[in-house]
Amino acid sequence: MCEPIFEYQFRLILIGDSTVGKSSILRYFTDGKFEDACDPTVGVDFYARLMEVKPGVRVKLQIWDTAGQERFRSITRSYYRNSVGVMIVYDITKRSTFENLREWYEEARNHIEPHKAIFLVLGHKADKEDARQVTAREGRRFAEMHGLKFFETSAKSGQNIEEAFSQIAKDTYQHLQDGHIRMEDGWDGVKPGFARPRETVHLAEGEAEGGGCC
Amino acid sequence: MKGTVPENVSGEDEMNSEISAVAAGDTQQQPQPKLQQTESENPSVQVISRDAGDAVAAEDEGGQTDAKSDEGWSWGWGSSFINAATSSLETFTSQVGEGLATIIDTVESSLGVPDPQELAQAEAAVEKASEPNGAERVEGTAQPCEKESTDKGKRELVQNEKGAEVQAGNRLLEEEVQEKSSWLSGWGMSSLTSMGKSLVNKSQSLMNSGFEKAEVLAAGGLDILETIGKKTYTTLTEHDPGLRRAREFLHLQGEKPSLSSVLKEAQEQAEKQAKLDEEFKEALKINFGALFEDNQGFAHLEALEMLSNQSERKVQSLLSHMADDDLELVRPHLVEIKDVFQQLGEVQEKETADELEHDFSKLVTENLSELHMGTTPDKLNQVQESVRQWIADFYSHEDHGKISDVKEVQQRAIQSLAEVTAKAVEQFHKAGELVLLQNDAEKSCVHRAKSLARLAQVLVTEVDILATKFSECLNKIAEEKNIADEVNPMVTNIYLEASNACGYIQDAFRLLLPVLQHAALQSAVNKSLS
Repeated sequence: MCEPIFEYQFRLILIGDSTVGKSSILRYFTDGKFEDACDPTVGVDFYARLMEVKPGVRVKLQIWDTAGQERFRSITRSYYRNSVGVMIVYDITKRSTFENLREWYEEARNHIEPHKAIFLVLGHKADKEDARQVTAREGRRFAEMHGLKFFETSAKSGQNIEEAFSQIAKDTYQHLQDGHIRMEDGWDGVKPGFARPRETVHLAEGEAEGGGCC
Repeated sequence: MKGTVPENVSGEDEMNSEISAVAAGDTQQQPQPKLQQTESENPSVQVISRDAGDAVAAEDEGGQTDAKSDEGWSWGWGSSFINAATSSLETFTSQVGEGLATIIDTVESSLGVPDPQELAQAEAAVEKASEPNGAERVEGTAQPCEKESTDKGKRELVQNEKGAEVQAGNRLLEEEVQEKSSWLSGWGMSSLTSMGKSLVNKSQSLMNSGFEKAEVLAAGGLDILETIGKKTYTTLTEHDPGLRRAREFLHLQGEKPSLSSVLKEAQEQAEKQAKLDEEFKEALKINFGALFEDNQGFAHLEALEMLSNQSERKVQSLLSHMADDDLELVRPHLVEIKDVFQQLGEVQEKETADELEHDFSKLVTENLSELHMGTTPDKLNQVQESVRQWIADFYSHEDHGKISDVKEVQQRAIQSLAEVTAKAVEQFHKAGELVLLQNDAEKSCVHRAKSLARLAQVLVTEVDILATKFSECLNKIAEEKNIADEVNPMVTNIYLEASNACGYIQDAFRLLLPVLQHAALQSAVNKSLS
């Protein structure tokens, strides 16, 4: 069960070709588990975890795990709009998934506009060094060309998974603090979380609590 | 300080002030009965009076040193004066010794406190109002007085009487000075008979200067007290606006805050916080909304809503672009689908859990497979099975004499409802997605709508059964433990959340209407194109 106290909820979406390992990344991120085989995602699935973006400030990441299969594309498109963060995943052992990156990136951008979103590029299955078809340099170059951040990850070894989510959460939080991203009605990318009600009472009244408990 | 001193003023001083203020003879009589009253004092008052006596003794010393220095200064005035001065000093010191409060009183009047006359009147009023209090005050100073000698006291009274008379004469001329030192002037008058006027004046001024020193001393003491008080107040208020904490603390513990007590307080605070945290977490465990959220129920509902809205828009745009002939063909289908969705509102009459009992997984699987979408209701069935298993375990445990905690049962009930509901909503969401993808399947949308409606009915029934079963568990414990009062609100809560759960399931189902209509229209369009 999730700890209930957090400041904001950020909605992230994972996109990328089928079988690049999106669901594995999320399973590792939320459960710390890795399974070699898993069923293809139908439509969209959801994962959630709390993350600390700075000392004492926690946000809830609600992550939409989309189906990579082409037949679901028309459906998953409708889910882009309400996301504040997008992770585009490719498989470093499968060149075609890297080549589709640009298409995924543009599709997501088109559907998210006019809202702003933080993008991250993940070269997944980094543990399979022997089967590598895309160099880390290529991946980084693509990301830098579009002004995005880049990580090579592995759900098997856990490499960079935590770091990638931490990065996107912190960047989103920073943009929110700077006012580049704002909470808006009718857009669910960022939603206010809920803190302990008594905490706000405590801050506002100082001593009120002493009387309240009796 | 100013407000409290008159209360603490010793009886002697009250007498003085009264006498000095009211020259009439009848006031002299008042002290006598009061002094007699002192003989019947109680022990607790004695303690206080001794303390006062100590303080007086300390002051006495001060008075004597002052007097000695003054003696040196007045050396050149002749032995007769010295004698007079010495005797007067004796009187002075003894009088000082007998009444520190007299000085305070005088200081007060110099500070602009009500003059003795007013004070006397006020005192008289107070004494009348509360005679016992007045008596106690008299006891306060009467004690040391008696110890010295009653003769002295009587002589003083005579002197005071005389002084009062003189003062009555001089008051108008020397208002302030007189008020300050009425008894001094009284002494001055008594020595007038044997000495020259100037000498008297000198001695008087000597007395006055001696007195002033004492006054300065007392005033200095007051200043220090005031400074300490102010400093304490600022220090406290800096960290404690309004002194609320300090007051609370002092009232509760009646002692100065020390590090250990502050630490203890902090620890208690932390414990309280932890307890509240725990309570909050406990509350969340039986909060349907929070548990539904934890199981991604809201996320699926929201995603389904997006899908539904998108389909709604598609339906509108497809309808507006359709040829009239095609529209006529497809309209009956759309209406039929709509009818299926409207039937759900008619819920069957409530029956007992046993009558409602059904083969959940069989029905769910059956209805879903009729959708022909290749989706399996694994998650839903698993959750439902585990819930049923828990209930079965509960009853078997009971047979072995183990009674579960009611809170545990309640938690489990709400959690189960939330899980089943979340999985049901997820199932509808997935169904909606797949309906849109497989609109070329042989099964018509009307048929699918009917299957989905039956699925919704099965789910709602299951929620009802679960709520009933959990309530039965609770009631069973209540009966055995005789705690119906505790259990009744829990049962109410379970039924309330069950109706919430049904609401979510029906909402999810209704959101599928535009999706199915969208699929129906799309397949019609596809047919007409091909």
